[in-house]
Amino acid sequence: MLRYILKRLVFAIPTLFAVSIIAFIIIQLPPGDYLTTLMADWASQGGAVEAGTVAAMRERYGLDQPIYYQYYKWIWGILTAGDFGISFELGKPVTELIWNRLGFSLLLSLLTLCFVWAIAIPIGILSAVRQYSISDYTATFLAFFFLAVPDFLMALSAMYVMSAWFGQSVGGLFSPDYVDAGWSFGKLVDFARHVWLPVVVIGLGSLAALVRIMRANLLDELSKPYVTTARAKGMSELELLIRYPVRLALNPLISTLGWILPAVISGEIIVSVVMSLPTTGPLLLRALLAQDMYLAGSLILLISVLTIIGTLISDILLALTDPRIRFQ
Amino acid sequence: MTDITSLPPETGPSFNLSGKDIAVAGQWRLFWLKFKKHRIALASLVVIVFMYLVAGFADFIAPVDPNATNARFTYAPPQGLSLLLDGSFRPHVNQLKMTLNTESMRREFVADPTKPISVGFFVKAPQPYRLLGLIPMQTKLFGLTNPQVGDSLYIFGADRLGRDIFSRVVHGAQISLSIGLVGVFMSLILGVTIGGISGFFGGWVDLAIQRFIELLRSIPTIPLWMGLAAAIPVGWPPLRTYFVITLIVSLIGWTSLAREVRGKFLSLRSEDFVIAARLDGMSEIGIIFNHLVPSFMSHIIATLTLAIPSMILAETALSFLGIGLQPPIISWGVLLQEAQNIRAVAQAPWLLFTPAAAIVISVLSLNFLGDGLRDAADPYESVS
Amino acid sequence: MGYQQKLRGLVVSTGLLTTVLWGATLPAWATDYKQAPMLDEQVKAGKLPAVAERLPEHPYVETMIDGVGKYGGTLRTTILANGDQYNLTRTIANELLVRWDPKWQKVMPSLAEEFKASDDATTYTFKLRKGLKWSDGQPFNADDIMFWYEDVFMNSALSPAKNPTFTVAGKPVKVTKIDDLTVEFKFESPYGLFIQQLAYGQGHLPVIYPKHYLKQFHDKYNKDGIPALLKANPAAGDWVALFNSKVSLTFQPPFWQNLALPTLNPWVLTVPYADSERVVATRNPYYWKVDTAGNQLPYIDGITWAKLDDPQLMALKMTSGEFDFAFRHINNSTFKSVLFDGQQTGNYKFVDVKDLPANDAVILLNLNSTDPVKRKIFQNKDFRIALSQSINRQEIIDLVYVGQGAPAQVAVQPEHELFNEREAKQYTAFDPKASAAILDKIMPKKDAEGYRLDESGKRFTINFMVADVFGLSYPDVMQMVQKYAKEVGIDIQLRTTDRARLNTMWAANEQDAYIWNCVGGLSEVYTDPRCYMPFQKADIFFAMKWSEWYSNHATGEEPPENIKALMAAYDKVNAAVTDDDRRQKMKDFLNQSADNFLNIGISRPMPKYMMTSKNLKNVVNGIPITGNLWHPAPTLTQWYFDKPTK
Repeated sequence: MLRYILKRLVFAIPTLFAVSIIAFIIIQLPPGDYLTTLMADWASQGGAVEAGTVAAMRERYGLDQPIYYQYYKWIWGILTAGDFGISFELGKPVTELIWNRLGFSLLLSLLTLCFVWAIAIPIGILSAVRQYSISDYTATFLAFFFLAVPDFLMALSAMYVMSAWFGQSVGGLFSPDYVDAGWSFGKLVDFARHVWLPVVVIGLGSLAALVRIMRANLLDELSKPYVTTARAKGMSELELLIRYPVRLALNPLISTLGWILPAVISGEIIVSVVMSLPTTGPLLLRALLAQDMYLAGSLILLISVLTIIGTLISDILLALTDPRIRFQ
Repeated sequence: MTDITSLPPETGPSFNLSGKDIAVAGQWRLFWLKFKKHRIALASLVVIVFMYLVAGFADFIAPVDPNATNARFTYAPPQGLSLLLDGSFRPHVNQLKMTLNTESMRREFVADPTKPISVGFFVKAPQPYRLLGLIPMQTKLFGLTNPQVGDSLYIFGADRLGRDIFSRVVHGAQISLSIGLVGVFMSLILGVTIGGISGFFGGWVDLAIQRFIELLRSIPTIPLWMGLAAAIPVGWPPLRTYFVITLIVSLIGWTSLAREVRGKFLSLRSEDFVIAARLDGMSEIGIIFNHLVPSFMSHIIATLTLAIPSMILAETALSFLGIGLQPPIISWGVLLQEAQNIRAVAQAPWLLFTPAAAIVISVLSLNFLGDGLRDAADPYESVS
Repeated sequence: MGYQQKLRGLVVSTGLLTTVLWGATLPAWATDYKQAPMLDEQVKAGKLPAVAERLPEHPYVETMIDGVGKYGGTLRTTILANGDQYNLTRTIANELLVRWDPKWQKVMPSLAEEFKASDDATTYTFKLRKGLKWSDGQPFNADDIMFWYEDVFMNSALSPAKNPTFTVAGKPVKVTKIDDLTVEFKFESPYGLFIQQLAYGQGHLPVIYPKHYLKQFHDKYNKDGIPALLKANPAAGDWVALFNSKVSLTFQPPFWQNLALPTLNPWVLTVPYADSERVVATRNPYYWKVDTAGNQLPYIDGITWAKLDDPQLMALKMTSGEFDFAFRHINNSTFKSVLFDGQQTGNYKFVDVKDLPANDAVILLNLNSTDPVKRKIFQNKDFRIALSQSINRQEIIDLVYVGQGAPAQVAVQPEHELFNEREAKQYTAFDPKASAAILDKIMPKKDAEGYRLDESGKRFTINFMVADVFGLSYPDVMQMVQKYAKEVGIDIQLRTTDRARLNTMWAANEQDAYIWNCVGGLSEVYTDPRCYMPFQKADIFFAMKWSEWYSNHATGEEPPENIKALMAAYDKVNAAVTDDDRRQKMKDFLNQSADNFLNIGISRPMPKYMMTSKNLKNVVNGIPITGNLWHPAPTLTQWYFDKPTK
């Protein structure tokens, strides 16, 4: 077991390294650099940036260096000092800007996963037990409906409905009163009142896949001889269901963590912009648009790392919970 | 975007075929017999064929040019099509009375039931066109029989420029349903080739490819798309840009397919018929294409139908970010992106519902079809 | 003779600028200033000096619109979560030596109590109010301005290039301290527009650098202490980066991140524009303006900006009554309909904003295109006339701008004294036949699809860059233009892009053509004629090489004679000394610009709007706003709530 984990960790290193290179290439792909954004900003405020200023700033930010050297500087800073560079636009170290947001992103993703599981498992069970019934088809239809409606549209529509019809304040994760306050019970309640909407919006998109998996796994188990035996012995249907098949059907669900996590995080970026959540999404999008390269690169890198860790955890959990899986 | 291509095979309905048919049925016949039993999948197939027909004959079905603007009818609501007038069959819509409200900066419409406008089938087109780009035509499926100034036919409403949403959705199907196909085709080539190599050779090749797939999947899709889309030279014509965007979208799609193919190869390569072929002195490539690929082709087809919806959704996400298709090209993603504002949600929901309904129907149908195909293709499913 | 009298004598004798002398006679209530209740306690506790000691000897007396207001309340407004620092600047940070009046007609004293110009328009003298204080209570005086001049502006590390507001013909200004309250700005050649320039937002440079706070970060004053400071600031690699992280121009993010930076603004930051989900500012107890009854301004206690990522959400929250004030990002026709319906639930009303550029949608053909064939055609005035006449402007206005607008070229607005009817109206009539007739002379040959061929026999195609900016629906406008151009045989290919991408293309002179709006609809045309001639490189690029030549004859390309004559006409405007002469020279210049017909305008702009709570009073209706006129900031100090909000 330990060997397996170690092996996976060792394999993760080249992957991480490659991710950092790809992240850096992605942000270099669009033409221009941060200074072109800056020049556009100045122009909109009635000024013009002189060539001298631009050249001096380009030198100051090291943007006149070759790309490989810029990459080397960035990655060396991360490896040796945990220094992710600075955000040109905000004039602050990247590390000061991202941890808080990364925390909210992670929290939002975890809450979404919990929500999806909490909804998908009972629906999946219902669908499997009442296979080809009206409820099975309805559940399947709804799950796919939410899959097919793009999440950005769902986010805006949900906010409009909650705001215009139910008079609820939407957007963000806190009310103004609590934004800058320290954590307290009141803030927690306030957070809960805000966070459910984005969780539902992001979660519903991933619902379909999980419902289908749960349903299929359970159907597999239900057709096995031990179920027939148990039923023949007069076990009640509910007890029969919960005792073994559901538990076994849950196992493969753990492995979905690995691919649901990237989906949730990607979906979160767009939804966060529409709903103004203090997560990495809006910051990343802005950094990409403004070509604030160290900020954008670091965010891509960290999100990728989270995903890799998520996959790793799901593999390990799977190994721990399912003794049938063997490691050489 | 949610990845829906890696669902495990589902246990479909059990089949009760009997008689001699089964004993002598070929692989494809067996496949069809099983598929036929899956009624929802069958219905979905009909829907999908219908949608592709609509896309193909868009010029004939759409009553007007999808890019034709009309200043009088910006944000006009849907005009209900009634078939009966005064008890007899006379399809018509009611004329819209427009007032310009300069204070709220909008046009306001009231349907006037005293002024019915006659709608007919197989009417003369406003302009001649070429169906499928080939056949010169002068007829539209339906339209106003005698259009006058001030008349309009917006069965699903009009957008901000007074363009007909129905015509736009019909034309959008051409791109949206084909971006799926083209994207999936590219995914297919990449997925089967790379997945096949990975699964067949195993060892360090497999390891390297698996790490590479893991790498691709760990990078958040949105920055990847944005970076790649921004790198497209601005001088390119829309069609080429469209092609490249499809390529970008399929960049992610192939990974899950490659995994499935690899899994199939891993389980098949030690099967007796492969060993037999190898002992016969057949080359590795020959084995792959003569024995392995055909043996799971049906499974691949099923997986592909499931991949099309994620392509369609990916394209909508690209459009949302402003890096998708560009006018005058219309896709459902473009239509939804145009509806992504508070004005449409609050005051013109038809902008949202019509393309969303098209997407939901196609995604649902493709998924059910995929399910059905997969069940039918599963050789371990009993046909007793 | 006292200095003040001498100064007044000079101003009167030159008649150069309307100069108002504030506080020449002390009002009766001078010793009876009042302050906000929230400050009373701090004064009582000894944390603050009394209000009379905090105010300058002669505070700026604000004239009221609805009358003397009441203290209290928090103004709730909104800001984009990223890259929207201008919103803060334009709400609370536009305090300058001199200012435009709210009608944008004359320049008035502000931080400077008096100012005067020399007869040859080279020397300007400013006398500061006595007793002005930074928001931390330290005095603001000539030393602060000298600190900016000597240690920031003239320091080549901090200012590698000099701001054009403070240069003439490439030569920077010379600033001299006369006494503690008086400074003199001297230029080498006449610069009649200097006072106007100084009253625009970009004129903030001399008054945003508090010496007592900033000198610790400056190499010249604290060479030994800087290494320790650098250690505490890992983002800064050297003292220049350190200094820039502590203070920057008011429209740059770092200005809004440093809570310790003293300012002269009415409100000071308590939550910076950084990580939190909002920005908060509270009143500056040392603010230097009072109302006519001697109450220290501002009336409103504080401001909160909710940081949102999407303008759609701004509109939604506005209609649900979560803001008292909003205008940027949601004040265009796209949102008007929804906001109109939300007035009841949102408890707000619409207030006109005169954001009137020279034109809302301008087709800018690249006269300096690197493609010699295109360059030749674009430079042909007849081609531009033909393209202009092919456009059905009224249809575009009806369709895209809901009838709000009028067919027009790039021109000063009719309400302004510089309005030139020929310039506004020429070639705006929709006449495809006349257009085709002209084009038949320039490009007679057509291909099978009816598109015209250029000299080389290839289809003449304009790759048109379109960015969806300002809420002006440019992609929609251009789809229409594309259709009209097709009718006369011109192939226009649309390429949708974003602002940053466009900027990259401009810098490289790569674009064929693009669509933008054009500043210069009202008084800013004097200082910013970028749409009327090849001028500074900002956001209007129709002849980049010629504008380079204009700023420095050693660079760019020498333009043809007619363009050189146009440039010379503008140089005369800048050298003019009296208002009347300047106006006349400007009219000549605009006339010549109309002759050259450099750009194709589509629609005359209509006033935009902002939303303010129904409870807010003293709001200027029809306040002018442009890129460099950072309104409504200086008028917010007199806003007040006549009913308490929640």
